[in-house]
Amino acid sequence: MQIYLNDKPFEFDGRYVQDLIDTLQKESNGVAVAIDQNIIPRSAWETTDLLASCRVFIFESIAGG
Amino acid sequence: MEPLIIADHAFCSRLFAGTGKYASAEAMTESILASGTELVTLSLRRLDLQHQTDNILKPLQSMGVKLLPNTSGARNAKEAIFASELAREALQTNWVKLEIHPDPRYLMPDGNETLAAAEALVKKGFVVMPYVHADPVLCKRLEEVGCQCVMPLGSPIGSNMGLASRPFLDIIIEQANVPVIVDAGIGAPSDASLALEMGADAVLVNTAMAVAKQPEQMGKAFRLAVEAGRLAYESGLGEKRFDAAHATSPLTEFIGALS
Repeated sequence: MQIYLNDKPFEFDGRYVQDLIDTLQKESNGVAVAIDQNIIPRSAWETTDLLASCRVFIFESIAGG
Repeated sequence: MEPLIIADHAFCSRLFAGTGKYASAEAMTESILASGTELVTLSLRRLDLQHQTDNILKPLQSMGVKLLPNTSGARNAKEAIFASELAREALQTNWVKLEIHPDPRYLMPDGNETLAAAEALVKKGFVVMPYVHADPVLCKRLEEVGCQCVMPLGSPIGSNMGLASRPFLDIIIEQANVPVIVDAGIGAPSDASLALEMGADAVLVNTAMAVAKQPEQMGKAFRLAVEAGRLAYESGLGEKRFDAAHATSPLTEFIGALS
């Protein structure tokens, strides 16, 4: 199915938020996820469904002052 | 030296450090280690699928320093609150350096939006460390809404212009009942020393350490400067006197005895 990842179309075969994180080969450390402006706690990544056309935003920690 | 207490946390080092602008993760790690800092700032951004960035998080976590996410990029209170909540999830901390600058050219902090966001974030249980102009009235307001410290700027971010806001920093320090951390513009270890001598509780340094030719050595220089400044403050500096010179040795009598 197609979802929108950080405002760009993205083909995704999994079901849960955690599947998307795994697909992207990211660690949970330093990462936050929101769906339509709702932040998904890390504890809910394995139970939160991603639906077709949903807008997912993934943020990562980077250097900054 | 007395430890610095913010919220429930005691810091032995009064030097906080930013992690931006370093040429490499290795240079950052060496500089942070040499500086002796126990608190470092980080930013959040949207995941970049095209470019892999250096993983700086793991080395910082292995060093045991406390991580302070900032809300850099937020242009108003609403965005800053969202950024704070994202950061809390990403880094599993309720501490946040609140910075809101609508103008990307000069990165001037927006005091109205910062106060509104600070009040909301305190109610949500955050330890809020607001970056603001050296505005004594605003700093008092931020303290009143429950901020655990205030972070007035010395001069514009990245300018290396030192404590251009000194008269206002003096007032903020005199009035504050929460720690005052001078942030932004500190370009040399002497600026950091001066801030601590004036009674600031800590300084936050980034550019001056990160862009030095030898970041590790500069980290050490800042560590020494901050320690010196704080020790001098705790020791009690002599008052400045303008009426006349006051000799520390009785030279005139010694010379008089030869004639």
